[in-house]
Amino acid sequence: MRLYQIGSPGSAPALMKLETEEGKPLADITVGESGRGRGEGIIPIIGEGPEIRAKKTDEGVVLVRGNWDDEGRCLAVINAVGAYDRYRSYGILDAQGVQTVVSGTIAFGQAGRTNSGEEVLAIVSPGASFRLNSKYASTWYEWDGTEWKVESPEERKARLALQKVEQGGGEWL
Amino acid sequence: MKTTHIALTLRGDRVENGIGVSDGQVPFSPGSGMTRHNTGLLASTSAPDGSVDKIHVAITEHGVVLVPCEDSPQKELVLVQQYSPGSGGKRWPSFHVEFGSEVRQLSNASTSGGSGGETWVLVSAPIGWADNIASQFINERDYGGQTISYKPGETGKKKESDVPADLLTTFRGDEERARQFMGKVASLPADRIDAHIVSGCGRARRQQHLVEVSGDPEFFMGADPNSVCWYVADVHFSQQRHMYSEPVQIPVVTTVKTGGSLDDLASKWGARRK
Repeated sequence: MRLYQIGSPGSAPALMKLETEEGKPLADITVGESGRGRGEGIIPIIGEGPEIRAKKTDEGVVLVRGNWDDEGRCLAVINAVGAYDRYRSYGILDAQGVQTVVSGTIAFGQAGRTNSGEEVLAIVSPGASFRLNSKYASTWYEWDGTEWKVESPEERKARLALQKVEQGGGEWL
Repeated sequence: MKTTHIALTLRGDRVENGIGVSDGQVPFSPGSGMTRHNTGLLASTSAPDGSVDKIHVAITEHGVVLVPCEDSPQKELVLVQQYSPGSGGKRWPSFHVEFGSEVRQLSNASTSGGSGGETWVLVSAPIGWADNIASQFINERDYGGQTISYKPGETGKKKESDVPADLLTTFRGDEERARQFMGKVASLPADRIDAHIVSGCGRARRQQHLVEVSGDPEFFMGADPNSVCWYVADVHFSQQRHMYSEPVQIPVVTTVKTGGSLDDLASKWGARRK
């Protein structure tokens, strides 16, 4: 599986580098943040190779690099928290085909109680879709097994409506 | 059964043929307000970028789909662009439509914040609906905002009214309030009104005097005294006006050559005064 990162709601998924700036292999991935009202998850990475698989152990999840078969699934580090807003709902919304492996919490305020949301490492299956809220807008993400599709709700509705009519659905006025 | 619609775009007193299409959608591109939130989908279409004129309309759970066709139209599909002008245009009237049972609202998109705002609504309406709405809208500066409903058979823009146009403008097109004010003015005791104050004094003095004479603290009904005192004078002193208006000698300035200095101009005036 390839490892993608969605840095913030609305941003395009990007392949995550498995090497540090010094050229050394990345030792771990962190999701969330530490502190009051927050949660942090650290996932170690072992092995060598371009692909990654997540392995669950009694002590936690480990990412293992190797030459694994491409199954159409991918791993994604998804930050679902946008800019500060007291009441905005931050999370992975309307998700289908998304399996959270490790979850962390990003929060606002010294005690983390003004608002918060999650950052997760997830396994994303082909056909999976979910929605992320930024401070003002929503963005839909869809993984088709080879690439990501990022759309606004309006673009998504337009595409689905058109598909429906092309398949003979809908009510004619 | 598909009904062919003719596509029209209605904005205030303008009706344009066709509805714009861009990237497979009817785009929402308001002139006022902000669109950083999700605005809503008006319609999607497989038509190329440009404009659609005659269409079949399909409704799905995801939204409205427009399919171009070439049949003769039986109804109108109108993109109603309602607006409230924003910063820099607030003296122009806002345009809103009261949708009755004669139309079917299909979708809408709106701004969410900023100065002014727009809400665009896509409706299926009977033929002639858009022209009827547009013909009723008065797009004049300082005229009040209007919410217009469909009135079959009524196409005249301005109703014939005996209310003076300037007074109507002062009351932002509200004829009823303008008439109420006219009634108040008519009932003023003419013998107690000071013509000099009403015609020549400033706003505060005029206001104080007319409120005192009428005994009505709401005499002006929210209007600017300076904008309505002419009417008081017109009603009560129009026949006396000529008595104290003397002809004024106004010096006639002939052509001033361009490039002439201020000194030249001063000497010219000096010579004339001698």
